[in-house]
Amino acid sequence: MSETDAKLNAVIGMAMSVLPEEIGCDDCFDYFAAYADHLTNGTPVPEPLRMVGSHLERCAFCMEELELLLEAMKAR
Amino acid sequence: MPPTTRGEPESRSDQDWINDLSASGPLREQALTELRAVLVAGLARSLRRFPNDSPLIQDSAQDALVLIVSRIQTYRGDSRFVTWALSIVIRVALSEMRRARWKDVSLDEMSEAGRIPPPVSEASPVNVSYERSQLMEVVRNAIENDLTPKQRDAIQAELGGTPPDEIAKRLGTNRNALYKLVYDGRVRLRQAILRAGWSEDHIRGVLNGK
Ligand SMILES: [Zn+2]
Repeated sequence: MSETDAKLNAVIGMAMSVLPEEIGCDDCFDYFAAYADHLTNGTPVPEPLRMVGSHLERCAFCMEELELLLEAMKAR
Repeated sequence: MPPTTRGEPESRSDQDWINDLSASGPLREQALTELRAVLVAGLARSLRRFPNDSPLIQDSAQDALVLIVSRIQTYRGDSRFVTWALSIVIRVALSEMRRARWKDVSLDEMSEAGRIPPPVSEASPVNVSYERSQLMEVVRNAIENDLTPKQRDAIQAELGGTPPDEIAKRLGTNRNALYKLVYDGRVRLRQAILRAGWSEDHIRGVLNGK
């Protein structure tokens, strides 16, 4: 895929994935630790934290933070 | 009389962390030392290319420690205390790495990196679908005409791979306000694309090359 095609796909993805209720990066961060604990423990993610999951699908930067956090948690 | 030291760090409960970090004297000193070690170990594991004693790891752990102690009242107890503390040190370290990587890049350059260029020539190459180039024109038009200059810069900078903290800094705002700015821009783009007669199914078909 050319760089232009990749940008076109990305911007259309950004536009068409708009949901009526979304959270931003800072709100996502507020629930980050709880979300990571649920992932690590394999416990079901409760309803209010589902918004974190859908934010992560759209936000590569928060996703990168989550991946690093999950790795850091293994150090214990 | 309360204990003046604790046993293994592993046995420390979330409440012990809060109590000890909020206390004074040796308990607090021990808790700070142990928490710092936890932050350094976690960070070194997630950022493998940096050794434990690198300035990035050491400085991030120190900065995060200060933040954690000052924000301890905001810990809600819906996660392990250590997970919460690690989430803060990760964000501190990543912010620093992103700041260093992007410090000399202007908003114009960030925005330019994500601009979708116009077609090279009017003559459509045989291997580019006609519909795809039509869709691209709709999107390019929408970016030019339906967004405010700030929305356009923010969305293009994001498309060009700039992290949100850095875009927010250039726009003189914070990450949440930036998210709202981009969200409103996404809504406008969506409306413009639908208004031009493209359905979601049709778009999916074109993007998947069908
Ligand atoms: Zn985010």
